[in-house]
Amino acid sequence: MALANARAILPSVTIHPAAPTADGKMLARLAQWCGRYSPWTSTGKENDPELSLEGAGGAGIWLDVTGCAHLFGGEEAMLADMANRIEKLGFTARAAMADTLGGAWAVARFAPNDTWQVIPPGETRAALAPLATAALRLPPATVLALHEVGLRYIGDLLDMPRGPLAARFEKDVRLRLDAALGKAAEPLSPILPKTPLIARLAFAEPIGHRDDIAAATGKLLENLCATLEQAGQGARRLVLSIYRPDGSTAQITIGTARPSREPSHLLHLFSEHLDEIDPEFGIDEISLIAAVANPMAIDQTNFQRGAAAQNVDSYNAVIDRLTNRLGSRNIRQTHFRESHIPERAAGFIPVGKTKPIQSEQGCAATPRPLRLLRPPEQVEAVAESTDGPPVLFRWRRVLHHITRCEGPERIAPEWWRSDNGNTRDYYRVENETGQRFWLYRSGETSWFVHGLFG
Amino acid sequence: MEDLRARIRALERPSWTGEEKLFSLGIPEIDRQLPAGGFLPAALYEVLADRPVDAGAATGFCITLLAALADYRKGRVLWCLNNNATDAGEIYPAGLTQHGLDPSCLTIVKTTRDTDVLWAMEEALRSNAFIAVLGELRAIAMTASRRLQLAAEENDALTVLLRPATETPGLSAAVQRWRIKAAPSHPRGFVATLNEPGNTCWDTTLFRSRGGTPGTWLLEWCDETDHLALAPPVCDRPVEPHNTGLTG
Repeated sequence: MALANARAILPSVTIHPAAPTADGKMLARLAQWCGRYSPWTSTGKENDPELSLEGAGGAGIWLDVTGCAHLFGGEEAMLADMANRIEKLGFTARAAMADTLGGAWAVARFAPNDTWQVIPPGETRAALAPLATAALRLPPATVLALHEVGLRYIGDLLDMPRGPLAARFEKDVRLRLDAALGKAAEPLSPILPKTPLIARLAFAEPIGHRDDIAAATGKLLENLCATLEQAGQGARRLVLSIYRPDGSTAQITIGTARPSREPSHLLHLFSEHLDEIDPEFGIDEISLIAAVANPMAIDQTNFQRGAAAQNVDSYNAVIDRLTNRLGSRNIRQTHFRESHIPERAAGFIPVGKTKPIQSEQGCAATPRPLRLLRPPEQVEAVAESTDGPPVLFRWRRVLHHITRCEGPERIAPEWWRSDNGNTRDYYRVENETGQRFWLYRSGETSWFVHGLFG
Repeated sequence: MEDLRARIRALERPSWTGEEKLFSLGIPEIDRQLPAGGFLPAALYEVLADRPVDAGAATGFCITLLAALADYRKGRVLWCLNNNATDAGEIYPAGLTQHGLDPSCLTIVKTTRDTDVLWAMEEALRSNAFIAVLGELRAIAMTASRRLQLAAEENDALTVLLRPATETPGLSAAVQRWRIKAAPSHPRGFVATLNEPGNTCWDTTLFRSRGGTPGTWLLEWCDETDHLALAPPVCDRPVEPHNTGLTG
């Protein structure tokens, strides 16, 4: 029904936009909640990727309760309890239990009577017979095609020869029918609970010695790395928390440049900081959490793994060690930008921020100094004329007479930036003892030393 | 006599077996004076600026040394610096290409203490991830330099210490110790009125060379060919200093 029609009939109708993603999430949470009945629960998404939440059957939750029913006092009691509890959670639910997934799915949605129903073993066939063909989880087009040839109920299909059925309606119909009757296998893949990336160790007697703490950390790392490997993850940030008997805690955090689950490497990173822990009267529990973890493929070692790959590994390892002691801001790589302003054009950025950009500026045609003063230092200078080259200048209280001079190289400020200054006239100058400087004039009379040449 | 020389060589560190691949600045006159016949790639070198204003020249010499190594051995270079050790600004990547070093292979470590520089250098040497490690620091104790020299030998990486000008360079376990001073360039081209700076010139003094003899050379960096050469004697420059010929 169109929304306009609905409003015409009942103007006070409440409207909520559809939220399939949120619905899907809710369904997944509900499936997890159903884990109280059986560990083998699924939203059926893996089995029927084409089935959407909207449409005929809608989504549901599948449980494989083989061997679980007796814990709840039998199958009927279990299903009644399930329907009851889900209703209390605020959902309207229909439930069915049958020999096969397909059978249960069909009965739960298409059986005319109760909200819950148990089909006793071996009676699936009889229970399916009076249901509409749509109960076989078929696409609407196939259902329509079946209707056109007068096959309205599953019972009409049950005794038909499989060969012509498959030839006429593709193999969907045959597959679904066989699966519902238990003649074909239909496995159910359960939702796997997320493994928490945590390892903890409690001690009978509080420990306080540094070596003990290091040993415990090593053990925790081994456990956590095994968990990480199973989850296909690598740690980017690890938090080690210690708990003292008086309830106080302390934490150490380490980070890595890229996902890692190498216990020895991570222990090395921690060992720098273990001295910061003050055990006071002892530590009775240590926990280690992978606060940030990224997917990490299992690394296959082979004989052809060249020295280059090993070099990358050892480079990452040493960068991690340096970073954890000196801070990530102090480990830098070269970085070029598309700019003519020298201090913007080339510099250093923390390793791992972005890929270093190679630009033409890296090999500028005009000479650039080897050392750059940041910021430039103002000097007293005397020039031949107001716009001529400098003759002498005083930098750091030393007077330099210029014997050779090249320039000017005029660099205009970037008008699109707000912090632009004056146009600069750069001169490459050499004093009488051979030292070379990069001087520039900003405005009329202000002179600056900006760099030293090799 | 040869036997005696070999025995002395065995006593002295670094012990080179003659199998190491040496690298060279491209100047036979210097190589001839070095005991191994070239620069050892796994050793500690020390470069001092002669005066505070010579920081640029000393940096240039270090870069040339690194570039000469990178010519025959590809890999990363670590540059550790103590921010407080020098007041001559920081290294500028755009200037490195002109001395033959690819700036993208460079990783910088900034610290504020000499001890952190030494720690980072040793950590980097032991990691085996770098072909060369350079430390820019104010002073170094004999023991620390000895540790670096051993680490450099064990891990086969060039180690360079770049130090600012100081009256008393102190003791050091470095294989070679250089003092670098800028020298006036001679003008480029033929027109005398063109008063542009010519090729970069350095007055380099090898004042300590383990197993070799010290020497002084006037070197010139040719921009056109991107290599270092002995500066040709020119009529308008002071008389070229001769090698002192002292034994080290």
